[in-house]
Amino acid sequence: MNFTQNNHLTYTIGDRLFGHRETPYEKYKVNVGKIDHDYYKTSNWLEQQYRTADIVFKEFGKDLIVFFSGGTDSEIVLKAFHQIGVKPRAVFIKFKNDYNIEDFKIAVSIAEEMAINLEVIEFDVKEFYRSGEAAEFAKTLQCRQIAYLTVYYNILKLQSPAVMGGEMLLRRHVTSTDSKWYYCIRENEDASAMRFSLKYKIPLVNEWFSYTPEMIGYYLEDPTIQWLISDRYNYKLGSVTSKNEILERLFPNITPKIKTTGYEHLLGFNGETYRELYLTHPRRLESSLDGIFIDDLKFQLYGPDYDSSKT
Amino acid sequence: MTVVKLDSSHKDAVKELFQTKKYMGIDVADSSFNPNGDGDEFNEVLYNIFCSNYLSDLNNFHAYGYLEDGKVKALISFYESNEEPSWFYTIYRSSGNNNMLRDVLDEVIKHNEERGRLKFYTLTTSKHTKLLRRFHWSKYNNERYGYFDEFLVPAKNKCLYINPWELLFKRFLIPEDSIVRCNFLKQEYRITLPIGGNL
Repeated sequence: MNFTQNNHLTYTIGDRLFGHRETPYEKYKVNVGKIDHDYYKTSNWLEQQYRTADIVFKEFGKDLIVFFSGGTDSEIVLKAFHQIGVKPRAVFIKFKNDYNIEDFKIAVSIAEEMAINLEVIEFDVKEFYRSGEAAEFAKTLQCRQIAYLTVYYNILKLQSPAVMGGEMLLRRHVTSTDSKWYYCIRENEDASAMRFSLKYKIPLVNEWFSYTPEMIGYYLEDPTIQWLISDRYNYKLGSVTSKNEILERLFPNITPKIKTTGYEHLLGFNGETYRELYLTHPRRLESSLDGIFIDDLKFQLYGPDYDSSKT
Repeated sequence: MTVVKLDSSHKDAVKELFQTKKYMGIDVADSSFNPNGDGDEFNEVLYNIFCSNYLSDLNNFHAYGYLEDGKVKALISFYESNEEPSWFYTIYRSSGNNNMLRDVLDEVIKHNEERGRLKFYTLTTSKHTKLLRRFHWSKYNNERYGYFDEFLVPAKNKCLYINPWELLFKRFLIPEDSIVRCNFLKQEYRITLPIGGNL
């Protein structure tokens, strides 16, 4: 099963590939593949989006589903498929009591604009949690985020290959002496997508924005990303608040919107589930990163001859 | 004095310290430790925990030992908490000379103070709470550190709190009442506070 191009992006826990945590002491490690230098000179980030759509469509076939949240990431995924002449099924998970109605309206509007039939799943996310189903699923997959569990649960029902989007999240890691930025692929969230896919044998892409090594390379070269990770006193701790501005610049005709999570009306619930579902996991006591430092990432991407001054 | 930070090269040198009949002053053949009543099995488990956690180049798990003639005669392992500026005194082993253990503890306290960790948690059985302080502490640090007893876990009960359960109890049911104690550097010795924030 390919989660990224030729599975260039991998993680291990206690040296087990795409495994789950068995003890509180095991290290979590993320690795990425090498870019093709000659090809890298001739392509760009946008081309990598279309290339990814092409590869994923060839692997997943016409039954593939894009989980469309109305956000920028999944809008780009849909438009990348659209650009290569593919119309995947687009599914929106609409919460009971209109908790994510604003996102739903945006999703409907974008789907209409693209002449896509938006399939809507009515879902009672609170009942999913209260019934204990979410906790059982959380334990099985070692995933603590209700948003991810909700999507996995519905993929399982639909039994179709799926794409979830998946931003390339960068975060600042702060120590007592300095701070270093890292590419964050969270052990109990992002990595759970691979565990889900392998367990239920349903193809799933959750790292669309890291799908090829080249795509990662171009993103890291973006001037806003460069500013984020090189200016110590920009008072930024993550790339989340800068992401939409970057993506709107990199991908043509993206609907401008404020970054949301879909849980703005469920903040207390989201926090409670995040804490409670963690009780189904082995506690993590070793402070290995939830990702890979940018320096190490670049070294892996560009190889040992990498000269940081040239990028 | 030769107190060194232990690593994977010391695996054989520490093994003898784990071949004992007592753990926390309790017979290791006690059925609460070993359903099969086999003390060797418990010692093996503890030795493996020590090697895999404290001699494996992890970020938060460390050990110091007193080295003499190529053998480790006393050791203390500890965990640096991610959640607060504290540490957990997790395992001590000694060949019987308390002076060696005092030297190791001084070095461990120094290691942690240099990293801004000025309090730590210990576990003893309730009847041994005074002994640890009397036998394992140097006069210097005994004076500088105060303590309070945080909670008692009744014999054969599971500890309610996750970090002490994982780190101090190592998920073992202790067959006697045991006490988790917080030891702290007294206020008069906290001349410069460690910095708890950065960018």
